[in-house]
Amino acid sequence: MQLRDFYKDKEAAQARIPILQVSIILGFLLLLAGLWKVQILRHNHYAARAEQNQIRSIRWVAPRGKILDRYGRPLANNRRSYTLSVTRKDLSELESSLDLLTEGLQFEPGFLKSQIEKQLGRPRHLPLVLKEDAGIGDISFIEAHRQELPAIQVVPHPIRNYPEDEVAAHLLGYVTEISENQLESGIFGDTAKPGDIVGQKGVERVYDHILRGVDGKKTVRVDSRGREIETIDMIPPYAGNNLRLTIDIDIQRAAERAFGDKAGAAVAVDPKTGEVLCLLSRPAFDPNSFATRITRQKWDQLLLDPQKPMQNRAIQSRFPPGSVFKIFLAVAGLQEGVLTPTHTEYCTGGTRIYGRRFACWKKEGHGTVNLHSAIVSSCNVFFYRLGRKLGIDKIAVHAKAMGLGYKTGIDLLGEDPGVIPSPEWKRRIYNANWYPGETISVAVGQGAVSLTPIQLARALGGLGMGGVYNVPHVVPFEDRTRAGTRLPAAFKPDPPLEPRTVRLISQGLWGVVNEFGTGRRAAVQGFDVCGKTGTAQVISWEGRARLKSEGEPFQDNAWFVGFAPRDLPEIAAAVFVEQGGSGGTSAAPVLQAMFQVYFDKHKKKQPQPGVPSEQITFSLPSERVN
Amino acid sequence: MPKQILPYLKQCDWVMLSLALAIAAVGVVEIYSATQYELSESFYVKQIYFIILGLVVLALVVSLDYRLLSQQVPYIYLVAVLSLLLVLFIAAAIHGTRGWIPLGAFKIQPAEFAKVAIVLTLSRFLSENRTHFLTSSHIIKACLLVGLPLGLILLQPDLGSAITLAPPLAVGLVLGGLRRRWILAGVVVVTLISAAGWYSLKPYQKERVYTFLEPERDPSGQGYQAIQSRIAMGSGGLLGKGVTQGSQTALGFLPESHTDFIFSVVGEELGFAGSFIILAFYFLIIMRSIRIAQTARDKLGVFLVLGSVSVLFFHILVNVGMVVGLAPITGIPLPLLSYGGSSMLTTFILLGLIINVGMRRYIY
Repeated sequence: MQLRDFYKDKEAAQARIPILQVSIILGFLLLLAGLWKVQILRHNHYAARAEQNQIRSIRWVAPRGKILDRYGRPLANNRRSYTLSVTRKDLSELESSLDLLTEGLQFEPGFLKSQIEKQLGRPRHLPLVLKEDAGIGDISFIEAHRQELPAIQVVPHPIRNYPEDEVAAHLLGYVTEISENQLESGIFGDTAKPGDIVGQKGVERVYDHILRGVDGKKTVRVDSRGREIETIDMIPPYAGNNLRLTIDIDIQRAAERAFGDKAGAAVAVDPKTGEVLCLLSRPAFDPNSFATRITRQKWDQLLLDPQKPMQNRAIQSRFPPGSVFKIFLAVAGLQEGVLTPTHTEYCTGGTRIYGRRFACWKKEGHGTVNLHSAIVSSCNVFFYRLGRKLGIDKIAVHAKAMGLGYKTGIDLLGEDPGVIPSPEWKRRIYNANWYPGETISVAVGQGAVSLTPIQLARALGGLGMGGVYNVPHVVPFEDRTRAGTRLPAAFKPDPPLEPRTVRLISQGLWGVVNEFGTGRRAAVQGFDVCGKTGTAQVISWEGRARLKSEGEPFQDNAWFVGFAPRDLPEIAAAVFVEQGGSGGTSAAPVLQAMFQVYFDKHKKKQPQPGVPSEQITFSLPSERVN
Repeated sequence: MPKQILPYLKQCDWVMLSLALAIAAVGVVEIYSATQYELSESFYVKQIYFIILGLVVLALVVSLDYRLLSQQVPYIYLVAVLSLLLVLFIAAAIHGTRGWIPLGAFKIQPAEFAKVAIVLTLSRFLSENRTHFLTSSHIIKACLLVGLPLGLILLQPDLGSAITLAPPLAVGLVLGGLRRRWILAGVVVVTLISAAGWYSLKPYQKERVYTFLEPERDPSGQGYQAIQSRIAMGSGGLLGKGVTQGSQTALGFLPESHTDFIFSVVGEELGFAGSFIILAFYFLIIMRSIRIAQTARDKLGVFLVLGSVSVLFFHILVNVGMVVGLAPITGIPLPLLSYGGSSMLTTFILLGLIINVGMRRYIY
């Protein structure tokens, strides 16, 4: 190739360079115009927005209202707690003092570093939390070492506290940060924000709108290190309202103590008003463990525990009532007129009905029994035969008339309605026919019949009141009206219980406790306790034998229900003990404990001469109608 | 030896090198400012190492006559394509690696070096053409040479890096003798392809375009970066808030502040004055480069210089445009300023090529 051609070649390419030059100059002018517009023309606008970015809105947590017992003693309050945090900018300053901090705040070596690293992914303008729920000791450590640790912020915020720990845990519930689902569903109202602490379960949940306050806000300006330099605005929080419950903590504590470490439930109500005096479920959980961040492991442990500690057995679980159901059978018999106080049966330790043998719990038999002795000795044969005479439909009608098989309407969530079986019920649920033999099982509270402790407490109280069933509630009537929740009216069955029925049954229940009956251990000196034991078989005889051979003797579920005093009762209760054996030995003492406390508190000083029982037994024959 | 090297050293464009080092130095300072509260790494120290490494590589590139370099083009091109393939295989095998090859403590980004390979390849190819105007077979071949690595980068997928290969092709074809009607046709075709390409864009890519057009539409997501970057720039005003005093940067509102958005940090802390000076330095480097192209000894030199210029200019245009809100958000770094080894090395290699051509203008 000729050298000249070579140059010519080059010149052709170079000839077009000006196109490129002009494009590049235009490009730079464009960028310059962009810079001019953003940095000079719109400087004020963007400077204002940068300042906005330096303004922090800090939540000022409103303390939750206290939950008090009926005498104003705290069941749930708040304790002061502090969060120690550091802004991202100050972290480098802190690095050299990590060891000092680890020692001072009593962390495991290396914990603080991993804690910080865990939070590095969060938006960089949020402070890093070093320790939540720091105590006074931690604070004084920080203050004492201000020279070495200048960057740590101490933010106070209230934490829910349950001074009685596990006592009444199911009744009170607990609080946690609102979940995403709860936020979306809006069940906590439109004003709920992420990060809000809301009630979960129990009173905390149902009366959350009363207990929860309105958070305030502190608006501050921060410097380029993220430290507060100026407070711009302060909106103080509104504390939540206190809530007084009908619970008597003394009765509650007595019941918890008497329960020991057994599983089960106990409910005591004032039948005159429906006020719940005590409501416990075992095993329980410690609501305090939810107030600070609960670990995943701990939560799973609570949820997966086969003992179901989160279940409120007092209202959410139903169990066969066993012999307790005999009370309602007797009521049905008297109301229907198929039973008279003088009617007798002869118990030989069992009876044959519909071609099948039904055993009495006493193998050698009770001999001749009438209504009163049948209740006192809890004779099965007497009630098998009464059940056959009544038939399942009448049993169901009268049981339901006493509020069994329905939710009581207590102001707590998740109540179970229980089951009062009937042929119609069986067809609906199992699409199967009712066998006459099932009626005989139901007569002694076995088979499909299953009830909740709260239902039984109300039914017993209502019976003692002569057939007025007040709706159980844990927040006093007047407070509920103020909160805008109306109390459902008590119901009175139609036709009403005849006074004679009430008197006869009460007398029988009085005998259970006071006449060498099955419930002697429920007796309170001078308080005329009336009650009834119940023992419900939970597994078959074969299953029991197998467990026994494996060294795990399986016990029956035990019940004790009752009220006191016999006339115009002031307290009614139901106690259920899982695998408690017999109601008389394991459940009756719990009821006794509750009633004793009530008696000591309200009755002891002005002992009322109870009507001698002879007078009532005396008056019975005169009322005999048929 | 020294006697032979001396004339070369005299011809070396020291002014351009000084401008580049000045920009890089500002970069180190601003990277320090942007990452002063990070616990994990000291980015600015690493950046200094990258600059030193870049200078060494520049010295190597400069010391070899660019004509000798261009003889190695087939191998360079092959290595570039193979490394891009390797990236795809590694990405399939190791989760979380996208667009880079792990090599000990370093992450090598082949897409960066592909830019150099494309500049060299196109320059060699087009400078060997002896016809006054480019024939259609030339055009197709040139397009295919660029298309292969470009396609591989798109597969990563890295749209931003892929389009940086287009400017050297466009510049090469225009200077290489594309007929005027072809240039017009090219403009039309590019317009049509962009329109058609819109329909083949991935949703996240479309989202980027939407947010570019209307950043307030998604102020916490994609638009967040755009808005915060402009707030940083704009709040800097005329003189800026001073180094390490930028609240936007320090408070962590600026994402990627030490890499893609380093120019917003410059804008916030050094103000319009600072960003104007940086822009002026870039402009001077490019104008001096064009001067070299105008006086280059041969056609190969012209293409090498202008190819390199097109890559550098495109990066500056898109990155600064993105920061001030004239261009959509793409992951394109700002040469010399953004933190990153691969980008720094590529920039120094391209500068080395330009200086190389300039040094040998009058020496035969």
